[in-house]
Amino acid sequence: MARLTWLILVLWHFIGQGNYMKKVFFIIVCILIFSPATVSAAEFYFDNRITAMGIGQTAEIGVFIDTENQTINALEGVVKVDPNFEIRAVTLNNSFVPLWIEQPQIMPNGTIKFSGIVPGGFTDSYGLLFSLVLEARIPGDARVYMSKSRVLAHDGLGSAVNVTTKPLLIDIGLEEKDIRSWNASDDTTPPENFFPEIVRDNSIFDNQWFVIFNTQDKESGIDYYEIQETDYFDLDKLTESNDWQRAVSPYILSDQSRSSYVVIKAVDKSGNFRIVRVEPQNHEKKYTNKKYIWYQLTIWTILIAGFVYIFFRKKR
Amino acid sequence: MWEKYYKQYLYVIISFVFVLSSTNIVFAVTANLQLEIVPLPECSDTIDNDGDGLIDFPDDPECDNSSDDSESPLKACEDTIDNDGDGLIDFPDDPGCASAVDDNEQDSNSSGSSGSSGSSGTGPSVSVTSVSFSGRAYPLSSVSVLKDGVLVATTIAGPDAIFSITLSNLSSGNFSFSVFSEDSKKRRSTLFTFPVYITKGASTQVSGIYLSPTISTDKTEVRKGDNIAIFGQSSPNATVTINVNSQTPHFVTTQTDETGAYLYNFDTAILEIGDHTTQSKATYGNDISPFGDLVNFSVGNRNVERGQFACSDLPGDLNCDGRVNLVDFSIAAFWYNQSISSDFSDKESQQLNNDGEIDLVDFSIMAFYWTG
Repeated sequence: MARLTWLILVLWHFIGQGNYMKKVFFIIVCILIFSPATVSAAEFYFDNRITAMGIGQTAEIGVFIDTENQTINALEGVVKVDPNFEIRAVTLNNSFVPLWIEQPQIMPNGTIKFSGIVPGGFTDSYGLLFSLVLEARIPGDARVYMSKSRVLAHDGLGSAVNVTTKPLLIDIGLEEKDIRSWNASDDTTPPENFFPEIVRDNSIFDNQWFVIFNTQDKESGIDYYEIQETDYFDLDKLTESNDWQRAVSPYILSDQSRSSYVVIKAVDKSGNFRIVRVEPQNHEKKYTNKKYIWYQLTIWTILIAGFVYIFFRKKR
Repeated sequence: MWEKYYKQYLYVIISFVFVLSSTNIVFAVTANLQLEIVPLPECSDTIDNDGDGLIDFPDDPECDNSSDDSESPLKACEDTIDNDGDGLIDFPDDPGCASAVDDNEQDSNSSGSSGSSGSSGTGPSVSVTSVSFSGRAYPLSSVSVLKDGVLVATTIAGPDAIFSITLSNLSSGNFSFSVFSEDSKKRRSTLFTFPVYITKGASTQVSGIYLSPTISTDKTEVRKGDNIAIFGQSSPNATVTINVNSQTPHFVTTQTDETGAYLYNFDTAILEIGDHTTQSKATYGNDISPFGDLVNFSVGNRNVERGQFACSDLPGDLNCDGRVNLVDFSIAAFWYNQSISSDFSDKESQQLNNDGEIDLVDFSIMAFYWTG
């Protein structure tokens, strides 16, 4: 739009005074050539149903993208809010982004950074990335806006798509407004089933075995993952176990012999969880480790000693 | 002394040998002592391996005999039974199966903990929430469905290239589904991707999918004026439109045969010297597929045959397993926004955009070539 305005002003100056027909003609040409409707661009925008809030009220604001009929497959950005707001939470329910490189989360500086991809591409004018839960704290005009953003085309090259952003302006007043207040999700559904894989590659972790995992929770979103490497798989015991360790994918296995069950727990933001496992590849190796060798030797030594003792006692 | 007790000693040694031979401990005294303990079969190891409270043959009914090495019954995902009543049986057809040894065909939903656990009695209730996909692929080709980028189901198209596949027991919410097919020569179609909002308790049907044809060429470089063979597979008796990109794009058409195969010998006399691409789409009646993958070739002064599939033919395939999936994504994510190692630098230059770093562009390339 700035380019269009600039061009019109230059042409207006050079055409001179009085040539109104020429001016009108050139303005029409400029608008046709440079108007935003013809520029290839995607637009980040915010749910604009809420324009006013009262102090202390919370509202959920969706962050959307309109791909303008282009197919995109990667996007990143930083969302900022004026200090009039406090960001209470970020929710991922119904996001169209299946794979986050950086899952949207509140950074220490109060911004929200995100990056993700959509395998196979995405085209829509109403694509929900995630939602912010904002609490109004200070009266006045307050903005929610995107400070950095990048969108890439689904063309196999990662070509950049022009991006525009439309900030959201909310009037924060002292009086409570008639808005739909945000309530924490009553999600009781565990995360989607998922299939961890154990792999290794010479380009990372010195070719050690690592496990990869990823799943979705369509209602409240995934909060975190935990992992255990165990000799035996007992779902009830694991469910109550306190031996879980927080993990992010990819995760290096401590048992590089792959003789343990690798158990992954995905926990959503409402506390529901799903536990899945990867079977040990070399379960028999369990029997060749030191602990089992000494266990077996001790038993057999006692048995043989007892046998010899009984034998000699009978002979006497 | 020895004469007095030699019989006892002999008995002890014989007994010792007998005891050892009845177990599976093998001592081998050599220059280097080696001790190998081979485990007993599960059905005679005095351990309750499957946790059902019953130990070994004949107490554990899952043991056929004492040398049976599994106390466990066939897992739900390998028993050829539709355990969860969703019309899909066992791994990999049933999306609730993480593997063939998964003992639960149920997919997600409703209960606290589930997944590919071996537990029983925690299965969620059966839901009718499902989504079906149908359309045209290639005769007898494998058709796969990705849910949010992850392979969840595979089926085989009929001889007429028609396929139909159903996923059930889904949560409600937004999903990104992709469908692709692999022809008889292991060439893949592009992903046919679409977002679907799944409503709880509803059956969603996506029909009329027409997967793009597969495509390849016999040469990577062709002498100007020689023919280049452009071939692939689509549905039987379809019209295939081949686009050869040049300064002026050239469009030619050909027919597929009964097996869906097509071949067009393109005369390169009309092409300029340099790099070119080609892609194709298919038409059958009123159905039109999207254009498929771009295949690169060049026109020069010599002929170079296209070799076997190489890792570098599939951008984004960082571990060279012929797929671009979560493994490659994880490897790239490890190097995201940090300086890459010299080992990984080679992969980055061959499989990604060769800018010496991992950023959003590399992930975009990966998303384009994603196979799940």
